[in-house]
Amino acid sequence: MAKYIGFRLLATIPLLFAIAVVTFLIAVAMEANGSIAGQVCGEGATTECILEIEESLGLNDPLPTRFVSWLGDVLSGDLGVSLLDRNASVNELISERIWPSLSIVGLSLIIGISLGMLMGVVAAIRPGGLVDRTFSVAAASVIAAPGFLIGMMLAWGIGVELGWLSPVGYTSPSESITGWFKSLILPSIALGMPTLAIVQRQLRSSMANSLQSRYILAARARGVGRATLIGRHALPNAMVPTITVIGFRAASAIGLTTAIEIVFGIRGMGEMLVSAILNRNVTVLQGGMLVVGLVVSTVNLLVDISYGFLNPKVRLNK
Amino acid sequence: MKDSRLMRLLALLLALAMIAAACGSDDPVESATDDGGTDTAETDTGTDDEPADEPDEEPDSSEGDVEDVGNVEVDEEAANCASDVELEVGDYSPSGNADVGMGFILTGGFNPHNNQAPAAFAYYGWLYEGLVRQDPGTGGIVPWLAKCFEISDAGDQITFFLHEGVTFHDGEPFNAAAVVSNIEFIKTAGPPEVLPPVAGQMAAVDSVEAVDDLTVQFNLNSPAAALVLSGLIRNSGFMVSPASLGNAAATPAGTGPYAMDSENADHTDINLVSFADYWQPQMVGLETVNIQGGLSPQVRLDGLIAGEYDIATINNNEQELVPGYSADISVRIGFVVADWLGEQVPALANKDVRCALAGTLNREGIVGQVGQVPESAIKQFAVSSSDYAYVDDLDSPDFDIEAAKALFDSTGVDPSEMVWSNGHLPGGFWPITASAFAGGMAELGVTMNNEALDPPGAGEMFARLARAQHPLQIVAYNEPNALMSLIARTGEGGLNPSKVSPDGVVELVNAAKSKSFEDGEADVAAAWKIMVEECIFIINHALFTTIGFQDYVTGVDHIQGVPVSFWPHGVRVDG
Repeated sequence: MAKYIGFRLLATIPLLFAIAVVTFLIAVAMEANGSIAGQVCGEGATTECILEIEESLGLNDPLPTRFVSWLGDVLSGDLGVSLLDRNASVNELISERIWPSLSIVGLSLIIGISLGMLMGVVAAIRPGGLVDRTFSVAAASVIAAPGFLIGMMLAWGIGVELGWLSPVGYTSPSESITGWFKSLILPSIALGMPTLAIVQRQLRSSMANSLQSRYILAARARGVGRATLIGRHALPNAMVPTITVIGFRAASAIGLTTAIEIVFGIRGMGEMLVSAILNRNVTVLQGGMLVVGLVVSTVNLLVDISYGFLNPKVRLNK
Repeated sequence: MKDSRLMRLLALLLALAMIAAACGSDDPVESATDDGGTDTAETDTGTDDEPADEPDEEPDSSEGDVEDVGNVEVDEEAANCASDVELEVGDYSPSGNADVGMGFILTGGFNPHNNQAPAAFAYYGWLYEGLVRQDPGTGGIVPWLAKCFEISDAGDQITFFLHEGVTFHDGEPFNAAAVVSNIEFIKTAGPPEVLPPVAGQMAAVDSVEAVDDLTVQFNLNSPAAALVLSGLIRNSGFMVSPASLGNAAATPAGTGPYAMDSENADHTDINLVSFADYWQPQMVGLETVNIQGGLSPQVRLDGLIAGEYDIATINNNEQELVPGYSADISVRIGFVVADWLGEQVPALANKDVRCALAGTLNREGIVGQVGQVPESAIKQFAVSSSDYAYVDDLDSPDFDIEAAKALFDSTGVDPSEMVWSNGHLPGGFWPITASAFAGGMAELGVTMNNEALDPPGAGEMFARLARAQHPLQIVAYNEPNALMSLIARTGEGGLNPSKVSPDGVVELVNAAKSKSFEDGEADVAAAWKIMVEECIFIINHALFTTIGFQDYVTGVDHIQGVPVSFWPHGVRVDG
C-alpha cells in the first residue's frame, strides 16, 4: 500500500508543475491584453511609475527567466503581493480566504455523500418501488437545477422569509463555533445537493447490480443477515464506482463554490479569484489558482488512495 | 474623370472638417480645466459598483453669496471669518454598533493619497477630514477643520484659520504645521506614496506656510484659489497625521470621528471604533462600525432584510431588486435597526404580534377596543384613519387583544416580565398614537416605562413614506422605529445641529397642541418633515462624515417610499 501511495504522490508532481505553467501563461496572456503596470499605477500613471512597476514585477525579463524566478518564489512559499494593494501578501489573502471555502466544500461533501449514500442504498433495496422512483425524480430535478439557483432559493426562503438562518455572511470558528456551523449550513446544502443527487443515483445503480450478484445470492443462501449482506458485502463493491463519482464531485465542488460564495456573500477562494480576474490582479490569480490546483490534486490523490483500500486489485496492479 | 471629381470633393470636405475642428478646439472652459490639474473625473479602479463620477450641472452664473469653483461652489457666508460662530462641543456618548454592507471594495487600501477611487470616499469619510468639505445639503464648499478661510483679492492666496483642539487618531495635534506637512508631502512624494492625480489637485499651490499655530497660508502660482479649494475637497484635502505620512500601504491616522480598529488583508472586513478625542464629540453616534465590502446587491438586500446589516447601500443600478424603487434616485440607504437601542425583543419578533399592536393605531380600534385614549388626544392630530396605511396593508384592521396575547404566549415570553423602556424622545409628540400604543401594551401586560413617540410616531412616518407623501431617500426595513432609534442612538443633542430632537420636537408639539383640530394634520406633517430631515442629517454624518461623498451622491433627500407590504417585520437575532 505504501508503494501505491508513493507512486500516486510522485504522479502528482507533474500535475502540479502543469498547473504552475498554465497559471503562469494565463498571467502572461492577461499582461499581453493590457498594461498591468498601468493598472497598478492607476489613473494618470506617469511613465516613471509604469517603468518602475514593470521593473519591480520583472515584466521586462524573458519569459523563461520570469517563470523560473516566479516558480522559485512559489517553491519557497512566497506567492507575492497583490497588485492592487502592495501591502497585502497573496499568502495572507489566501490564508484568510481558503478556510471558508474548505469549510463549505467539506460540509457540503459530508451532507451530499452521507445523505446520498443513505438514499442510494434505500432506493436500491426495492428498485422500481415508490421510494426509488421518488428519489429518482428528486435527484433528476436537483441535478437539473444549477447550484446557485438552489442557493438563492435557500437564501430567500430559509434566510429572508423564514429567518431561521442568516442568508449572508460567514462566521469564523474563532468567533463562535455555533455561529460558524450555522453560517455554513445554507451554502453547504446548496453546494451539497447536486452531490447528494449524483451519489444517490450512482450508488443506487451499482448497489442494485451488486444485490443481484451471485455472491450476494450465495451469501443469502448461507443465511447471512440483511444488514450484513448490504453493509459488508454489497456496499463495499458498490462503493468503488461511487468513489470515482465522489472524487469528481469533490473537485467540481471546489470550483462550484465560487457561485455559492457570491450568492451567500462569503469571502472565499472562489470569490477572490473572480475579483482577481475582474481587477486583473495577476499575482492573486496565480496564487489562488495554484492553491486551488493543489487542493484538487490532493483530493484526487485521496480518491486514488481510497481505491486502493476498497479494491485490492487496484493496489496490486501498481 | 469621375474618380478625379470624387477625390476633389473629398479633399474639400476634409479641408472644411479641419477648419471646423481647429475653430472648435478653442474652448476656454476646457483649457482652464486641463491646465488646472484638478482631475474632477476620477476613475474608479476597483471593483466598485458605484456609478462613475458624473459632471455636475452647469454652475449658476448669477452673482451672489455663492462663488463658482470649478464644478463646485464656495459658500462664502460659511467661509467668512467675520461671521465665525463659536464651535459647540457636546458630550462624547457613543453607543451601539452598526453593520454596514457595501458593494464596492477598498481595493487600493485605506490611504487617500494613493487610492483615488471615488467610491473609496464612502470609506474615507469615517476616518478623514479636510480643511474644507462639501456641504451635504447645498453642495457648496464650507470650512470644516478650518473655522473659516479668506481668499486674497487677487485670488492667489488662501488663508485658513484652524479649529483648536483637533487631534489625530495617533494623538498628534492637528495644527498649521500638520497642514504644511500634508500639502508638501502631497506635492513632492510621488508614486506610489501619492498618485499623480492626487498631487495634481495641489498643482496650483506654490508654497504653504504656517503663519501661527492655527493659521496656515496657501500661496498659489496663479489666481487659482477656486481650483485649489476644489482640490481640497478631494483626496489631497484629507489631513493625515504627519507621523503617518510616507507609508503608502498603511492606514494613516486621520482626525475623523472613527479610527481604524482592524481590517482583513483585502479591506473587505473593516472594524472601526469611535474616536474618544474627536473634536466634535457629540457627533460620534456609534461606538463601533463594521463594514463589509464587495457584497453583491442581492446579498446586501438579503442581509438588510434579515437584519445582518443595519445599513446597506443600494445603488441606483441595483434598484430593480427592491420593489417600490423608482428609476430617478441616485443612492438609497436602507436601515435595519433592532428594537430600541439594539436590544432584541423576542416576543415582538413575531410579525403577527406586531400587526396586532399596529392595530392600536387605528383610531376606531383604539376607541372601540382599548378605550383608554382621551378625547382631547384624539382631536390633537386629525389624521384620517386611512393614513395609517400599514394597518390595512398588514391585514390587521382590528386590534385583537386575545390574538395578540395568544401570540405572546406562543413565543414563550411572559409579557408581564417585559419592560419596554423608552427614553428617546420625551414628551408626547403624537399623544394619540403613543397613548394608544401604551394602551395596547398595557392590555398585553407589557410594562411601558414612559409614553413616548417612537413606535407609533415612526409607524406614522413609515405609513406616510409608503404613500410617498414625503419623498425621501431612506428605506427602512424590518423595524418601523428604525429612524427614531437612530436618532436615539446619537444621544441627546448628538448629530443634531438644529436641536430638533428632543427640544425642537417638544416645542413643535407644544405649538401643535395649541392649534385647532383643523390645523393638526399640517402640523403633524411639518413635525414629521423636520424629524426626517434630522434623520437625513444623522445619516449623512454617521455614514459619510466628511468630504467627497457628494461627488457621486446627489443627496439623501429625494426618495419615494417603500410599500408597507414589503416590510418583513423580522427582528435581527444578534441584537
